[in-house]
Amino acid sequence: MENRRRVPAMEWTQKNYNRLAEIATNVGCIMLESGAETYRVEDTIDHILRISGVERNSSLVITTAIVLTISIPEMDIITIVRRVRDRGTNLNRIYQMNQLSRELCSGVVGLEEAEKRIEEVRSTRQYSQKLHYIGVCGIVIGFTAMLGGGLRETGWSAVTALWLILSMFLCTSLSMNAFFSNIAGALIVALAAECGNLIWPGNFHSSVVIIGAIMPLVPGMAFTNGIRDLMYGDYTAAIARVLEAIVTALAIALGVGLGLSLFGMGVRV
Amino acid sequence: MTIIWKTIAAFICVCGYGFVTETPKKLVAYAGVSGAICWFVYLVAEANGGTVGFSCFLAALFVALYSHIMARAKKTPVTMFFLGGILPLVPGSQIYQSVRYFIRGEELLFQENLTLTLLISGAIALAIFIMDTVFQVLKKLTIPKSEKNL
Repeated sequence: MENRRRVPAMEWTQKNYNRLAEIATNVGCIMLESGAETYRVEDTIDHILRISGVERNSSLVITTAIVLTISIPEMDIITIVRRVRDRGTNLNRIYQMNQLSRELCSGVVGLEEAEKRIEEVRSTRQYSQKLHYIGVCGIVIGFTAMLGGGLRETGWSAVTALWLILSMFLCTSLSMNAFFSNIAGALIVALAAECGNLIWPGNFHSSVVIIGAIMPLVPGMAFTNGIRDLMYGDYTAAIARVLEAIVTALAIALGVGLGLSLFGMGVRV
Repeated sequence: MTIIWKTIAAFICVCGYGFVTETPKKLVAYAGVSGAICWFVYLVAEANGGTVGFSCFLAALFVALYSHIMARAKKTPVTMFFLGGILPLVPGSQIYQSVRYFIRGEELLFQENLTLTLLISGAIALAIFIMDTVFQVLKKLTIPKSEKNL
């Protein structure tokens, strides 16, 4: 199915080269913002640029920027530099862009439809914010049960998850930086989980609840991407990612530490 | 019995993670299965006397295998299944324990947990390395040069 050509062959004018370069940049930009590995972004951009039949093109992607250039014989050389500021995790966008690049390369989709689909992906979110928070609840409850929490711990983890969600909501609506919102989240989680000790004194494992509840904050994406970038010989990107993971882990540790100390002090007072 | 119960919990947990990371709707359940495989392998390995590091390595290896196979079957990036799959292994509990012991001033236990954190990270990394390489070699062996454009 994928090999069937629907789009008629087009004439390669300067304008079309420009459009193709712009599409490649946008696709790369969305992928990078959604947390794709840099080697994958470079790969995708190269594939898209190769549609034009021009061999002399290259792209350079680092964690925070995209540079690409096509040099066409007897036409203007196109170079685009794009700074990428946002970084998050959105697997659906990576999936969509991956699909788009495959279809572009096999000729099922033309430039116009590609432009339309890029706009579409930019403006839509797959899950509502509510579902996102339900997901957070699922992680916390699931993790607490998984690590061997009993009925009491699992129940209390749901309450803790609500506090975590409140903290996440406040941090995103005040657009705080990631470091601080991780500290705040972990702090609130530690305090809320320890409160279970007051309700069931001596009969409650608050550690399990805390570990479960900090899981939504843990930098899984940065960590795995860092490793895979490292493997593909992309050391600059790898260091940036691994450092991101370490800093996030430190922020969580700091938050939990603060929470535990504060709670300990509060109990003594 | 507890193993099955915990595996189901892992499935729920990773599906929840799917919502958070915006996994495509039709792939959420597959990602959940990835998490369930991971935790099942880990628990079985640990119950049979494997150390924490080795059990993590084995579990990550199975997740990587599953992810690569699914990625080829569904024509998607490997990350879709992989990210959720290793979530149960991520050393969150060790990070927490080391902080707790650090605050209590128990140097030895703090160091032990910190080492464990690094060990688990290394084990996961090694598993990713190995599976990626295996599949790269397989790709080279099975796909003739003329079809290698995608």
